[in-house]
Formats: sequence, structure tokens, C-alpha cells
Amino acid sequence: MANQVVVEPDLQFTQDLIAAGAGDLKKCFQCATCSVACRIAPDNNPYPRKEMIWAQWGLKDRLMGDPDVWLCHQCNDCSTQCPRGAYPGEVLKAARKMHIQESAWPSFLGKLVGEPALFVLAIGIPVVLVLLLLFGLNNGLRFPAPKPGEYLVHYGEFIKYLHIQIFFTAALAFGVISLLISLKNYWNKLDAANPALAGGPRKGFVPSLIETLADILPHTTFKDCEANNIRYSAHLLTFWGMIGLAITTAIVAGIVDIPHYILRGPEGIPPSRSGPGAIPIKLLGNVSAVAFLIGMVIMIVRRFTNPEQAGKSAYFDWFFLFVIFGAGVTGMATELVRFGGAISGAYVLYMIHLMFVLSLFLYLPFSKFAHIGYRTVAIAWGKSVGRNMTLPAKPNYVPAPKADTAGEAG
Amino acid sequence: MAGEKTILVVGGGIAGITAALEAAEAGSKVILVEKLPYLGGRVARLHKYFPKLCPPTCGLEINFKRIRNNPDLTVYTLAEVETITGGPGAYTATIKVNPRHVLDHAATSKCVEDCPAEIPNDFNYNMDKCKAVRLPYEMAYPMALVADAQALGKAKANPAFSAFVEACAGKGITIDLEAKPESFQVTVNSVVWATGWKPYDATKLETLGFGKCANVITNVMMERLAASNGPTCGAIVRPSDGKPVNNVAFVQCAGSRDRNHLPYCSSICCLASLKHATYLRDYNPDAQATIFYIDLRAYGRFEFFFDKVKADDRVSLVKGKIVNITEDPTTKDVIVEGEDILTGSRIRSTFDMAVLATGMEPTTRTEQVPAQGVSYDEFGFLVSDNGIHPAGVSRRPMDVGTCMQDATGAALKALQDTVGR
Amino acid sequence: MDHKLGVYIDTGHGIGQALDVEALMTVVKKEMKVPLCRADSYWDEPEKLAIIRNDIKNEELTAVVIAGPSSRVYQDVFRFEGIITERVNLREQVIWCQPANHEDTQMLAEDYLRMGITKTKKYEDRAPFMEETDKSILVIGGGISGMTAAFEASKAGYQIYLVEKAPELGGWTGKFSKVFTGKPPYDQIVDSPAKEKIAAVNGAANIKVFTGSRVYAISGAPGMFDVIIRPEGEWTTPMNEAQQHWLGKKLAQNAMEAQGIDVKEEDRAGQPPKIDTETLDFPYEKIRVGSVIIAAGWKAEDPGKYENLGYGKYPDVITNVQLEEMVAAGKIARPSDGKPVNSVAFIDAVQSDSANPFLYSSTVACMVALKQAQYLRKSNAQGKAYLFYENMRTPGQYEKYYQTLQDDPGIFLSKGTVKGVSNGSAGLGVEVKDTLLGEEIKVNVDLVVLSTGMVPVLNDESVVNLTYRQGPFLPQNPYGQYDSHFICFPYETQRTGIFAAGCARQPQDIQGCELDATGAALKAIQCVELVAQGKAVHPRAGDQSYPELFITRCTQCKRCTEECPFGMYDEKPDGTPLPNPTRCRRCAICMGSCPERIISFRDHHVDMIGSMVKSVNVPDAEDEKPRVIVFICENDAFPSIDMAGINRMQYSPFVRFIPLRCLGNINMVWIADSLSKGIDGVMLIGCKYGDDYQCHFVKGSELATYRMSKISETLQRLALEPERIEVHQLTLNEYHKVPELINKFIETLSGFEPNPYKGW
Repeated sequence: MANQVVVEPDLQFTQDLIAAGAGDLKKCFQCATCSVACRIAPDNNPYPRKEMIWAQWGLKDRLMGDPDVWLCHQCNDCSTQCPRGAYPGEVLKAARKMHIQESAWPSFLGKLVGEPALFVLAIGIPVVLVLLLLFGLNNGLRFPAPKPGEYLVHYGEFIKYLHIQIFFTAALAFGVISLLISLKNYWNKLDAANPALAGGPRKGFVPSLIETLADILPHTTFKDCEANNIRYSAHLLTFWGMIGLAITTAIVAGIVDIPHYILRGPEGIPPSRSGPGAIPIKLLGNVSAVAFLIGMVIMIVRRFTNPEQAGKSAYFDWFFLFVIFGAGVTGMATELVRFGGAISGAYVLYMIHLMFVLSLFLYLPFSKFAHIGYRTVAIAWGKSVGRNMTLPAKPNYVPAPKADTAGEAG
Repeated sequence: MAGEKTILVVGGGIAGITAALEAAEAGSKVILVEKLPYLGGRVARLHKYFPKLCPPTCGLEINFKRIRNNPDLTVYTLAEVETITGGPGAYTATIKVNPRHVLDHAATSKCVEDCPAEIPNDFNYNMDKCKAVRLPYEMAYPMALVADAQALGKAKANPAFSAFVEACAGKGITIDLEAKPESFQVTVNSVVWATGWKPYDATKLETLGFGKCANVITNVMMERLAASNGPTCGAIVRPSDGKPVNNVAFVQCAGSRDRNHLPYCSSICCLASLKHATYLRDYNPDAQATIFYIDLRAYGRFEFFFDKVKADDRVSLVKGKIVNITEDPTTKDVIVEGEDILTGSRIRSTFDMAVLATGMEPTTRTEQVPAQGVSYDEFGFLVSDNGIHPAGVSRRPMDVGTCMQDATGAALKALQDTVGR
Repeated sequence: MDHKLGVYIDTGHGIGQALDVEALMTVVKKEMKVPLCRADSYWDEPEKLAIIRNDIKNEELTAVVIAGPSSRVYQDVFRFEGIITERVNLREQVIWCQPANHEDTQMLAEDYLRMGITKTKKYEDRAPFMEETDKSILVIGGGISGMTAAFEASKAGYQIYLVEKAPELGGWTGKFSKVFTGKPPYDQIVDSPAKEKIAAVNGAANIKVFTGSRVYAISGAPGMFDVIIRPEGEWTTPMNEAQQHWLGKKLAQNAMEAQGIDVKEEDRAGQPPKIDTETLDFPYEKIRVGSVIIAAGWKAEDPGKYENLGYGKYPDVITNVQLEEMVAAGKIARPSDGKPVNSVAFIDAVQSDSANPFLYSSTVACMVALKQAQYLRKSNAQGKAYLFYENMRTPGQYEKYYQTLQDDPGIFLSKGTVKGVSNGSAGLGVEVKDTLLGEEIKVNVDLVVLSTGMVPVLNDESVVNLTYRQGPFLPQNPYGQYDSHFICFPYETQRTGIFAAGCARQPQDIQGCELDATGAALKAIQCVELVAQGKAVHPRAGDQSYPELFITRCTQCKRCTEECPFGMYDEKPDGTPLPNPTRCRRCAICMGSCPERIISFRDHHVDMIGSMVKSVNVPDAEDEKPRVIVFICENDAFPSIDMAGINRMQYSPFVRFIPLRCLGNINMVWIADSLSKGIDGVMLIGCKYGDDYQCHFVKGSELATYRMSKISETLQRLALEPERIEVHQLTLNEYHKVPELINKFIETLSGFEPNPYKGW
């Protein structure tokens, strides 16, 4: 409350938020129903009431430097109970999108992913890259003929494993690095926007991060959004499925294949390609993939069947869902088709799968996928400055001892 | 009354009574129709008026006196208007009068005390029970008993019943369960519609605990609690255990200004709650009143009253809507949750009792005028002002004083319809 | 005159079982000398009523006394044309509050019969006050309220005179470019309705409009007001100064008297400044009207005293009224340099212990701010409007307009208390604390608009100019308004036949003004109709009695002239009071005030009450049956005695209630009468007084209390203890206090010797 700030509303920012899906933000009349309806908002300076008025007043710096928007897991209790129909849940979601775009490095990619108009371009890039890889360094769409006695499908002769390894490792590296840079920007923004907190006693980054992960990995906070447990479970499945897949890939690539190339040179077939079960780790991959897909399907279905609770779905959501779900489905499909023996189908799917995976890697820092990083950082930042996020167990007010007053009854 | 210049006033609350009297005292014949067995409507159930904190009984008494003295005014209680046909200047209305099921001489006897049947006491918003044969309240106009035929019918088997009927007969009271409603027609020049309002159904406010927590009541119930002729004879105590209350939460906008309930503002709830705070403080000097609000709406001269109550250091005002109310199962205390917006901190406070400031829902929202060509606004308030004239809360949410002004105006509008006819 | 009485005792209601009816009849016949007395059950039944009617016809009765249930019931049943009907309450106030068949209960009943019959015998047969009256109505003020009042009353067929000081009709509403009317759809502002209203008023055959004119003087009384209308001009200034000077002295004098300081002659306000209605050496028109509606409207409160807001200091800090004029003139520009305005701060809340109650209490402040924000946004797509308010007040359906305006991205709303306005390079800096944004903020704007309060235009502008002895003004209530009890009698001012409407009464929106004016119009019509029949207006509507003075015994003490709450009395040159009966509300306060007891009503006079007191049978001292007379206000306190009875509350049988029209009606002589007859104590019960008084006649019970403070010398003369007299306030809903109140007093009295005057 203390120091006075000069306020200059940024109408454009409000417009951007509205464009990002917060269409009803002006309807809020500050009754604070939302801050209380929320089951996980902290007791001091709870959200989203304050975010609502910042949004109305176009106070960009405040909202862009507000870690609280990431504490929200969008159970949308606030939106359903709002007496004015201002949908605070959507406003926070829009704010999160803006966070990702505002801190994105390089920033033009942030725009690219955020803009519905640029969809074709955004999708075009990975497509073209994969096609280049095919036609430039390989034989284009000529599918290798099946060799008798061996597996029917030889991806390695369609696109060289080595190419994939190098190419995708690079893409992933790009994604990760630019995500890290973006997150660093974001961290600084948080410090800048909250001098009081940032200036105070701080916990180190690493311990904060560890605490945060301890909360995120089991989805502890998310679970408190009782409103829709199904979503919690779904997200948990997807989340761990994702991690499972990542681990699989990492092991396959990092521990098996890459050493193989180093020892044996670029030629030949790495052991991982010796069919299913050749290395047991792949089982994990399959299990994870299944979990991942089930979770995804549940979440997508909810968006259609229960929009009030699931919240409105904006382009930014759909883009991310499209890419990640696409990657999952095509990946699964490729494997199935391959064993199904539909040769050319397998190759085509494989190619599309690669395109999706590439998008996923490239757009990691710019799509909604980035929430994986931003949420972690925001929460970690909160912990580092000691933002209280626990709800007191018992009432914070004790009534005065009851004097027996007779009054004038009778 | 055909041929005479007559005005039909529907609704015997303060607006209807005022419209009827003002028109009659201006020299026209008036028929006043009330659905309940007594006049006074909601006002009769208030303890005090804001901002003067004077009892409505005082105003009702003078009005009843005016009614008794005025031969031009005919009152039908337990009556409803079934249909209205015709147009401005010449309406025909069908009035159905339901039987009182008991005949006596101005509430002559207490023998009704022995009545074997009891019913929920609607006058006290069902906070207690009353005899099935009763005088609605001390000041009731007409001063006459009324019987609940259904409840008595059930009690017939009870041996005490016939004894009771005899005892009554001995005291000049005749119980008649068989009496049937009677309908008749009247021709009038104009109609004033003043069917008023009802408190918004608090059970629809799921998160606010009404009906679930013993010590969550509504503002209209608070009026009865404070009233000397109420269920507790004016003792402001907890429904759960009858203990005096020491700290009370007043929950504003319970349903009002809410797209899920009543989208408009009921105008008077803030002032009513400020008034209730004074009830509480008068009854129990140690008591603490906390009013949780979005905007505290004391307009015009009511700001004097607002300032007066605000000055009391045991009345605190907190900006922030109450969102959840739960009950402490052991103490039956209520736990209210909200945000104190100015300090930006969440509240989770315990109180002896919570009072929901439920809003005013116009009766016309559910029971419309039985006539053609009557228009309403999106909230159900009466708009049309041609031949059928709204008065009081049928027009818009308003306080008692404004109701009387509006009703006086409606009386003139009606009077105009009688001119030159 | 001598009345021929018939007394009818109701033995129903349990009266027959609880009382010795034979004994009662003996009292009536033998003691009270009334030959015709019948006892039977339930006289309200048709066949019983027939018996009474027969008696009236055959026995040529002029008055009937019905002893049975309270007069609060069967008023309509026991109504016999041209026959005086008196009711004696043997039910609520005897058998329901006393043990059955007890000696004291019987004595109580007998006393009430004696009192009732005595009272009836004292009725005098006088004609009601009938004079040639006029039914036309004067409306002062040509704004929305005045025009509505005029138009609506004219539609009911009455002749209207409408006086407006400006050259045209329209008032404020005419000056506003857009307004909110309280009519659906609620989400829009619309063109001012002034034009149509003006057309309607000018189109009405029975409305005569005087524009550019003022009321120079109003003399006379309801039904016969003489009004002099004079063209607007300089003349108002000296008149107003004189009036203000007098008012200042008058208020000072009242204040001193309230503190019990006796005021020196030079400090007395004396006669109000005379308005010369004889030598009219200027153009004028004289009209006669039956009643008056004052719709003089409001003026903007001057926010100058809030220096921290920079009003008057910075040209770009203006009031909402000034902005309204700006918009009407065409464009919103900065007064300082005429540059277009891109941002405005609307201030509805300042740090203020609201010295002037009207400031910021205006009902419409928030709505106006929202409306003007919309003006800005409509005229400038890039414009920014900030609204700072304590509470957003958009009552009723106006919530919808607030909701709609919220959606405008250029309107920024926050609760907040404005600390101050400063002038900087970036324009005006507005500093606000306690905002919803969680911190103290400062916004830089081109223009600051203050929500000013609406002050009623009335006393401070010589609007009414009454030639009354009590002065040219309408008395103000403690809240600074001109109505009396503003909940139950919203239109009654303290000047009968003169009604305040619209913003002259209280801040209101246009719909409020229209409704209010329509109501006032009805009251004005009622007034002219009732006085034409010689009847009183609200709250004693229909009462045909009126005060008559036996002037030859008057000592010119002026008490009646000064104490009448309604300024009914003017003054003759010789200093004696000049009554104006149609101004009278029949509260009989004057009757109580007169030490010479020369004021009387046909059905209520000093002798009547005195005789009732004397008719009470006072037992000898040794019987140890004290007697107490309770003079009680019939409006509120008296019914509460019935309530106690209905709830079967028991209390001492030694009290005898005598209802008065108002406690202010109490005349000291009755107390002397009581005490000198051996009555042991006297109790006065009236309604609550003070700022939130309930008195139907504004200050009756207050006056009574004041008079009682002067009783001591009477008591000294009689050598009686002052404790024998008590004054109480009781509201109708406090009936549960009645037994305690009475029994306590009886207890107090038991501490004294019986009144030595018993049996004199």
C-alpha cells in the first residue's frame, strides 16, 4: 500500500489481453468473489481480484511482472461464481500467454506462435525443414523396398538416423536454450516489478527450485483445485507420460545410439533400431505414450463437453494442443502402422511425426508448452522471496468472550 | 359501484394503503384488495424504519385510522384479482375473496389459545409456529381472527377439536371449515398495482449456508428477531441455542447485483443492514457488528444515518463480498470467508450469527397483472403506466418513504383516469 | 347544548362475565342521569344496530355512547349519520388488563362510563368552517418537478399557475444535453425530456405560465391564498437580505431559549420583515389559489472550501455542473487554454468530514459522473475517464447503466479517497489513496470534475415570502429539509397547503422528481378539496372541528401564535391572535398553550377534559385506592394501551386514561384540576421527540415536556410533591413496557401520603 505510483493506463495492453481471450475483463466490479472462490490463492494479496483491476486499468508492468498468474491452475471456480461474468480465469490465462510472449527470446518467434494469422507460417517452418532434410540429404519420398527376412520398414534408409540425431538434438538445444534465456528475462522482470519483495531477504534459486519441483512433480497444488479432479488426473497422466517419453528418447539417443556412432562411425544400424524390445527401455516409451495420450484425450474432450469449467479455448491453447497431441498421435500411429505392415503409410506418418516433434522442440519457449518453464520459475521466484502461499488451518479471527447480556427481552 | 368514479388498488402493503387513502381523501371511491388476511404487507413485519428508527406500527396505526374513518374506501382482505378486462377509464375486474373460516367479534377471545392445530407462522417468516386459528398480529386490520382450514381439517380427528369448537362458540366465535371462496365483478376507472416484493430466496445462494447453518438468517428475519412482537419478543439471540449474539456478520448483496440471481441493486439493503447494526447495538451494548459490502449505498439524506452508524466504534465496515459461509459443527458459530479489499487480505472470520442482506424481488416477476397490454422491464418490474399504474416496489426497488411518495403519485395518475368520465 | 343520550353496554366479549353489568347500568341511569341505557351482547350485529337506530329515531337521540370494545374496532359499524358517537372501552382497557369480577375492575369500568358520558354531554354543536374557497393551484418553479406537478394536476382538471424566474421553462433538465430517466432500457442516456414537458405545459388549456417572474408575497390560507407575482428583478436582493437577517436573529434566539437562557429584548427577532402588500407600486399580477407546490429546485453546492481539490485555484478544476454546461455548449475543452481534453478525473470522494451534509450525498453524483465519462468517450475515442468514488451509488435498475459503462475500455473506475490535486507539467495531478489497485496512485489529467452536492433553493432565496406571523419561510427539519416527518408524511411541510416537491425537498434523479411532483400535485388537490368542505388535511383528514377563540379574554401573551407548529395564527394590530382556520391541522396544541383557556374545538375543549377529570370517582384516603390520571397522545401511545390489553397484560387498576389529540394539547389547568380533586398522581405519555421525532404535529410532546418543566409553581401552591407528575415517551410497539411504566408510578406514589384534597 505504501509508496505512491503514477498510473498511466495502457489501452493497447488491455486490448491485447482482450484479444488473447480476456474479453470480459472490464465487467469486473471488484467484489472479490474470485479471490475467495479460489481454493489455492494465498491469504495475503490473493489473486485474481487485483489482477482484474490491473488488467482493467491497463497496468502492463504490474500484470507482466506478476508471478501470481502462474499460481492459478485455471479450475475456473472464480469464473463460474463471478456475479458480473468477468471470467477472471480467462484473464489470468490471457496474462500467462502475454508473459510467454513478452519474455520470449527471440521475441519475433513469440509473435509468430501467438498470432492466429501466422498459423501457416508457424506450422510451415518445421514442415519445410523436415522436407529439406528429406529431399536435400536423403532420397525424398522414395520409400525403401522391404528386404526379405528383415523388418519391412527401414526408417534408417528413409532418413538417416545420424541426420535425425544431429538435426533434432540441435532443434531441441535451440528450444531449451532460448527457453532458458526467456525465463531469465522473466525472472528479471519479476524482480523489477516487485522491488519491495525482490529487495527483501531472498532464498537461493536452487533451493527454491527444489521446493517448487517437490510441489509440481506430484501436482500437489493442482490437486487442491477440487473443482475438477478429472483435469488434475488427466494433466498428471500427460505430464508423466511426457516425462516418460523424454526419458526414453534421451536414453535411446544419448546412451545407446550416439555412443554407437562414435564407436562405429556413421554407417550401420544402431542397436536401438533392431526392432521392438531390442532394448527394454522402449517399453517405458510405449507405456508413457499411452498415459500421455489418455490424458490428452480427456483434457481435449473436457474442453468441448464442459466449457464453463474448462474455460474458453483460445488459439494459443489450440495451437499447443495441436502440436503436442499431433506429435503423440502420429508417434503412436507410426509404430502401430509399422507393425501393421502398411509400409508407405508408416513412412508418411513417420515424416509427419517428425514435423510435429520438430515444432514441439522449436516452439518449446513460445507456445503454451513454455508453461512448463514459466510456472516453475514463477513459483520458484515466489518461494525465493518468501511469498506466502499456504492457507492458515484455523480462522484468523477469534470472537470476543461471550458476556451474558440479558438485554430487554420479554 | 358502477357509474361512480372508482379506483381499484391491488396490494395492501404500505404503497397500496397509501395510494388507496390518498385517492379516497381526494374524493374518489376506492376498492383495496389484499391477498393476505391483514393489511400492512412487508412493512407490518418491520421492527423500525430507517433513518428515524421509528416503528412502522405508528404509521400503520394512523393509516388504519384513516381507513376506518373513510366511508369511500372498501377493503377486501384474503382477496385476489383474477382478471382485469377493458381499458383506461373503464375496467372490469373479477375479485375472488377467500373465506376466513372463522366468524367472531373483532378478535374477541383468547380461546383460540386452546386450538389443537398449529401452523408455521408466516408473519414471522416461519421462525416459530402459531395456532391455526389466530389474530395475525396485535394491530391487524381488520381486527379479526383467521383460520387455516387445511390444518384444522387435519385436526378434526383429534378429540380436543370438537371441545375447542364448542369453547369458541361459547365465546361468540364460529368456526366454518366449509366456507367457499366468492368471486364478484367490479367496474372501475383505473387500477393501481402495488403488489410489492418478496425477499429473494436465500436457499438459492448455495455458498452462503442459509438452511445449512443454523445461525445464518436473512435481513427480514432479523426484523422479526428485533421486534417486540416477534418470535423472541425482541431478543436478538441465536436460532441454534438462544444465546445472545455478540458479533454478527452482515452480508451485503446476498443475491443482488449478481447475474446468477438478481442483476439489479435492491437499493435498500445497505441501509437496512446499517439499521440492523443499531438493533444489535441497542439490544446488546457489547455486541460487535461487521458489515461486508461491495458498495455501501446510502443516498440522499440517508447519508446522515450512514454517518451516524459509522461513528459507532463497534460497527465496522469491510469492503469485500462474503463468498462462503460454513458452520463450526461444535459451537454452531458461522465462519465467513471474503477478502478485505483495502488491505488485500483474505478473511476467514468466526461470528455468532450471519445476516444475509437478501434483495427485493418484485412480486410481478412471478405473478403478473392478469390483464392485457401490461409491460415489464427485464427484471420483472412493472413499466406500463397507462390505466394500470405501478406503485412502490412494483415500479422499482425503493424505501418506505419513497413508496409513499410514489403511491401518492400513482393515486393522482388513477384520479386522472376518472376525470371527465 | 343538552344532548339526548343513549348508552349501550356490550355484555359480549366476556364483559358480561367479568363485570357487574347491573351496577354499571345503575351508574348510567341514576348517577349520570341517562334514562336510556341498554345492555346486550355484540351491538355490532345488524339486528342490534337496528335497535340503536330505532332508539335514535323514536327517542330522538342526539348522541349514543357504546361501551364495549375499543374505538379502534367497529368505527365503521357504529357510524350514525348526524349523531355524536362516543365509545367507552370496557374490553382492551378494562377486562383484558384486569382480573374479572374484582372491585377495582368494576370501579375502573364505572369511571370510564362516567368519563365517556360526561365527555359526550360536553360536545358543542358548531358548524364546520365554511368559506368561499378557490381550487386552483400555484406551482413555484418551472423545472422538471414544477412542470410535472403543473401538468399532472391540470390533467386532473384543476387550474394551475406556474411561476418560473428564468425567461423560459425547463430548469436544470432543460440545460442538460443527455439525461438518465430511470426508464428501460436502463443502459442508455437519452435526450432531455424538457422540450416535450414544456410543450405539454404550454399546450394545456388550464395552465397559466408566468416566466421571468417570482412570487412577491403569499398571504392568506389554504383555499384562500392571495399570491402576488412580480417580474424578476433587483427587488429580491434587499428583501432577501432583510429576511436572512431576521432568520439569523430568530435562530439565535431559539438556540438561546433551547438552553434555557432568557433572551434580552434587543436579542429577540421580533416581527419578521414586513412584505408590503398594500402599496404595490410596480407591475404585478394578483391571483388567488387554494394550495401551493414549491418546486424551486436546487443549486450546485460550492466546493470552494475543499482547497486541496484546487477548485478556484486551477481553472481546469470544475464542477460537474460546469462540465454539463460545456457539453451543452458544444465541446469539452480546457478552460485554461481551450485545448481539447484527453483525460478527465471525476471526483466523488474527498477527504472530508462532510461539513455540509449535501455535498457528495447527492443521490445522482455517481450516475452523473458515469454519464459525463460517456460524454468524453463519445467525443474523443482516445479519451480516458477516471472515476474515483467512495461507494459507487447506482441504485435499483441504474446498476445496468453502471454495468454498461464499465465495458468501455477508456473508463477507469476505482474506489479511492482523493488526497489532493496539484498542477504539474503533465497537467493536473490527482493523488488518490485507499484505491482498489492496492497502493496510493497519482493520475495526470487535463481536467478534474468535482461532483457537487445539490442544495435546495428555498429559504436562502426568498422563494416563498409568506406574510405569516411566524415568518416568510418554510420551517426546516433538523436535516435541513422542508418537509416534516419525511417517512410517513413525505409532503407535509409545516405550512398547511404548501407542499415541497423535487430537489427542493431532497436530491433526486429526474424520475424521482417526476414521481415526487406527481404526488405533491395530488396532495395539493386533496388540500383544496378538503378545505372546500371545511375539513382538515392529513393527518386528521376529514375532521370538521376547528379552533375558536373567546378573544375578549385574550391577554395577548402570544403563546398560541408562537407555539403553533403550523403558523396558523397571525396577529391583529392589538396583539391578539388572528386565526386562519384552514391553516389548522387540528392538533389543539394552541388549546394547551393558552393560559386563559379561551381556545376550544366543538368536540374537544378545556372544560370537556376538565369535567372528565372531575367525573372520576375518587375514594377516600383510608380506602387506600389511589387514583392516577394519564393524559396520553391518542396517535401512538394510546393505541399501545390497547395492544397491552390484546396481549392480556395486567397492570394497576388505579389509572384512568384520557386521550389527547397530541400531548402538546395538554393544558396545565387539567393537572391542577386533577390534583385539586384528590387525584394522587398525573402521568403524561407522548411520542418520541428530538431530531427523529415521531409527533404527527412535529413538536407536540416536546412542548408538553417543556410546559411540565414549568409546573412546579402549581404544585407549590397546592403543597404537593413534584414526583406526583411524570412525563414519558412511548412508541406503539413498546406496549410491553406499559405495565412496568404504570406500576412503577403507582409504587412511587405509594411512597407519599394520599393526596390531601381527596373528597373536596
